[in-house]
Amino acid sequence: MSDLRIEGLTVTYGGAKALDNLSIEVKTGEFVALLGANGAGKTTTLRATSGLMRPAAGKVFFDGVDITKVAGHKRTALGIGHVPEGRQIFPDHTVEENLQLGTFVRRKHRAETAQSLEDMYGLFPRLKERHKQAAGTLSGGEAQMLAVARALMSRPKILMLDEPSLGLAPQLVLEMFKYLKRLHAEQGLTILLVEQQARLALQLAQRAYILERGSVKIEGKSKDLINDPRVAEAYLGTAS
Amino acid sequence: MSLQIWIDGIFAGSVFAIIALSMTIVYQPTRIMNFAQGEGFVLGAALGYQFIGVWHWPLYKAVIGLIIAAIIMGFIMERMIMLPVQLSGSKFAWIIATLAAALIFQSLFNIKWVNVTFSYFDFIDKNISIGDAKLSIQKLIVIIFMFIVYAANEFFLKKTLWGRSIRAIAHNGDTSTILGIPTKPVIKMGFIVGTVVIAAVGFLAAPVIIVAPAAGLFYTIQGFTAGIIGGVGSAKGAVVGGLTIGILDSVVRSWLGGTWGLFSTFFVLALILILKPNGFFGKRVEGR
Amino acid sequence: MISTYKGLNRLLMAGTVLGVALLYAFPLLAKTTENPTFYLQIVSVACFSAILTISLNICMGYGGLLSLMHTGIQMMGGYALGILMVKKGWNGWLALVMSSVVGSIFAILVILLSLRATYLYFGMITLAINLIAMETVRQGGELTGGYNGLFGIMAPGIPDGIMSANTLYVTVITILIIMYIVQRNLILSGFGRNTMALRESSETATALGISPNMHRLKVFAVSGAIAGLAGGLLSMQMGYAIAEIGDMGNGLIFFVGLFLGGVGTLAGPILGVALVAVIDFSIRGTAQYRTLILGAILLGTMIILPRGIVGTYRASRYGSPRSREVMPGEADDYHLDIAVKNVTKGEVLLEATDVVKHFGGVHAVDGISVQFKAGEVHGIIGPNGSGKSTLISALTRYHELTSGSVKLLGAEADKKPYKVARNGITRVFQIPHLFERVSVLDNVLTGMYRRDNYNVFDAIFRTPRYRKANSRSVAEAKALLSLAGMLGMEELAAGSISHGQKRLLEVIRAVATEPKILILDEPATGLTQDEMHSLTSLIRTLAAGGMCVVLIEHNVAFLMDLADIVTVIQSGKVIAEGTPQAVQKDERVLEAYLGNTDFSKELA
Repeated sequence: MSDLRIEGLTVTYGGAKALDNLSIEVKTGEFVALLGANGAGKTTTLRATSGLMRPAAGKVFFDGVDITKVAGHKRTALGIGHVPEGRQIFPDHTVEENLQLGTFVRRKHRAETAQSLEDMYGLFPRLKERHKQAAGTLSGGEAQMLAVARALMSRPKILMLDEPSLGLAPQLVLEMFKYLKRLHAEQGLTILLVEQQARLALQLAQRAYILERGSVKIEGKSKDLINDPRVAEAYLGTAS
Repeated sequence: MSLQIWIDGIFAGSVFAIIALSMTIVYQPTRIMNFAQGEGFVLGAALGYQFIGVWHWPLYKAVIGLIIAAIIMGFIMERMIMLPVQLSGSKFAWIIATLAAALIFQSLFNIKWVNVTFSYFDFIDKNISIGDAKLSIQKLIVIIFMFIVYAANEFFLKKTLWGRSIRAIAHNGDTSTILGIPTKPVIKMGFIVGTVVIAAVGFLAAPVIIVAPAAGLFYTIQGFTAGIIGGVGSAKGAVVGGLTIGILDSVVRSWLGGTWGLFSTFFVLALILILKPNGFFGKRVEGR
Repeated sequence: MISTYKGLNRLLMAGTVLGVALLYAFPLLAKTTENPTFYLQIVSVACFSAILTISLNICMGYGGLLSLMHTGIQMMGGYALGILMVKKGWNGWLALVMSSVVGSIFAILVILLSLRATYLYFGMITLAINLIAMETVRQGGELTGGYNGLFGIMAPGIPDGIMSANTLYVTVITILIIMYIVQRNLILSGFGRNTMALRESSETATALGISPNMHRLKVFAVSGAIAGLAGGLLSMQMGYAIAEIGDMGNGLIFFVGLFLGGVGTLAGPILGVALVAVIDFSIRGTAQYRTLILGAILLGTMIILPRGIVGTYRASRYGSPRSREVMPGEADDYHLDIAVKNVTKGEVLLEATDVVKHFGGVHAVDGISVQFKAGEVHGIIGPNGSGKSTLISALTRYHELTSGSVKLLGAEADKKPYKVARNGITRVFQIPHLFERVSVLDNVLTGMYRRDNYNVFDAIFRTPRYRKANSRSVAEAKALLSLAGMLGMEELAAGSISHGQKRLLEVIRAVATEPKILILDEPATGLTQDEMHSLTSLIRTLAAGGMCVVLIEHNVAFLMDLADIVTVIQSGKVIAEGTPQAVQKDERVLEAYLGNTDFSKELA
């Protein structure tokens, strides 16, 4: 089971409240989008969930267990996968080495991780072509694929992605979102997607939260929100 | 120029190279240049003297004792340095912490071994002749040790998952964490392995070099010099840098005598820092 | 609480006066012991250490420059003195001055050599230079006395002959007190503020018009001068100069004193060295343990009291918000004229034409033309990664353009960022770049640096020119603070105020530089409603005075009330420009933010 539940999370950063009593929930098998303008707290939410930021208040529950005090690297072993903003691949390592680093939490199971590698190459043939190349030489789209694949290598129960479409050409964005949809539909992967492109995300996800200034402003089913004028307002303010 | 000078230079260079390699091992996950690293060298020499020279232990027992002591020292050093670094927000924390650690260990050595220099018999008291130059087996062991350490380090870093994780941490700590790589144990390992390596070379080289208890800072500086010339953070650079200053020192000394040898190595250091601060093989890295 | 600190202040003042009196009276006390010279020497040596530590404090504590060569500078000063007095027969006092000059020149040379070096490598360079210097004097043959050192230095008498031990002692104390005053006067002036600015954030300092290289040179030169002087005095007292003076091992003691007392504080060096001297004295029977104890103290200080004694005291006093009531009528005294000089409303101040900036293969800015006019609030919006920040960096010359031109007030804009700042553009960055450990008032005053028309010597001697400029600047700074409703917080450390207040402070500091164009990068992030109102009214006031305020914002709602014109950027190009209301309804803008609707079929 991979329920994620964030309750009343408050995170301060440089004196300001990046997250203010935030509460969101992602149930097992759901595809949820986290939207909002920049500075609303989307990235902070993911970072707090992975353990990169300590909250001042509130709790994080995963699979029913309180992980608020659990160290970041241990959360990965519990099944929380995170594709960070800006991809953050290791440019000096080869594509294959990047993928292998993703298996760190499963390093004791050699045979299985070798199989995962093959599966990943099947899913992303372009990565297979370049598997001995230094990751720094990949194009933006390929790097994004690598980042997603790398996170998948740890066999996460929930995958969190931070603005994966950033800087990618529309066609590549489409390709990547198709993969995500497949992953969700075929393998039942729970997904929490942070995106700035709201309409796109709403077409993929089942449910969405729209954050503003560190807390939830709007929430609901995607099909209801997709035509809701409040979504545009969250980004561009009210027409006066 | 006689071969002997070159051989002596390569031997000294190997010692410096291993010191620089041990510093690289600490530098990799932490980006800290450890001013106290040379104290590990003195530990090796001191324990060699104490175990073999004074207590006459058999070799295998001395080696085991050395490794255990080095592990303990590495562990303590890590706490002494990383604790202040993690607690204070200051830019200088690591420099002062490593300097303080150096001071503390140095004085401990001075207190325990007053008026002693660490020399004891060679393990293998033989020489091989190359032309009319002599190479003692002891020195050869050190030179071979350098290659072993270099090869082992390269293999570890490039071929094992843990090794690659260390490079990953050096590159991006946050991303490594979300991939499940534990940074704190890796840092501890870096200090411990680095200390064991440098203690080992102190142990091996002390019969040939005369090491005083307070010599730690001197060897640290040699290690820094080698590392910077070769490129901070690069194992290849450590070897090249170390051999460079070893040979340079030996050659210059034979020409001009005395301390001109060391002078020339510092001169090269300054030159490199000014003209090519990344050394021969280093990449553009910001220290802490 | 305030009264406690007031009382403490009085106590400290009394203590200082008493301490100084004791120091001067010490020779009389020493006479009562069996070995007065011994005790005098201990205090003298402590004084030399204090002087050297002051010089280290200036360059490391205030300037943030790592120097491992201060013992070397000290050594050079000593040798300069020795060579001039013993070999060339110079008068002792002149030679002492020269030791300071030599120290300064030495420091300047090293800085010039290492301009390109980053912080760590600079430290390594100083280490190497130190070793080279030591080796050089050892090989100096006749001139330096080689390995044995240079002997025969006699302290000069007044007016001639040889100085008595007591007189030398008094001289040393007096020089220490003078050095403390010099340190204090320098630090509490524009020079000191700029030094700290560079330490806290080199980028921000540059944005305020401070030239980093020039200023670092000045700081190191001053530090070197003091260190050289310390060396000259030391050699004068000891009667000789020797290479070992330069040994870094000796220098570690100064670090202990500096960090124990409090690096980056005025009294820290003296207090720390005094404590170390006392500890040193009490453990004098056990020389081998000295290094151990000192090393342990240093480590302990780093862990328990990382700010040092004085630093911790100051942090507790000025680090937490203390309310101070604004006296009625106090704010009235400060009239501020914020009208920007020499501009007419609507005049084009900054113009970008077809600006292109590529990073490797990425077209961050792909041909943008935009005009910024006086008296306007100009908003720039666009989704993440659209190129807004890159555009601004290109305009302010933090990035070099790939192609296109930037004109400032009609002329080609300068290539160096600090020059651009001096020409009328001030930028406030996205991430707070306040000088956190510096007071609120000093932060604002740093912004006024370009109007300071005094130099280092004016600051040290507190000439009338300095005093006039200083009081004028302080009055203006206070007026600006009152404009933002922050009067009463002048002495607080900037790091201790709330996030919103920090934002306002940054804007105020930027305004203090008297810009024609003020660029604010996402200033509303993290502000409460009230704080946003304060910011809005401040910006309106500034624009009314003729300033062009450029706002890069994500919070479009914030811009709506405020901006006269909004430029929308996506993928490095301008996709819309107009009034906020028009832009809000523009389909292209909505698409840019919310995404393309075409994918719905593909993803079904």
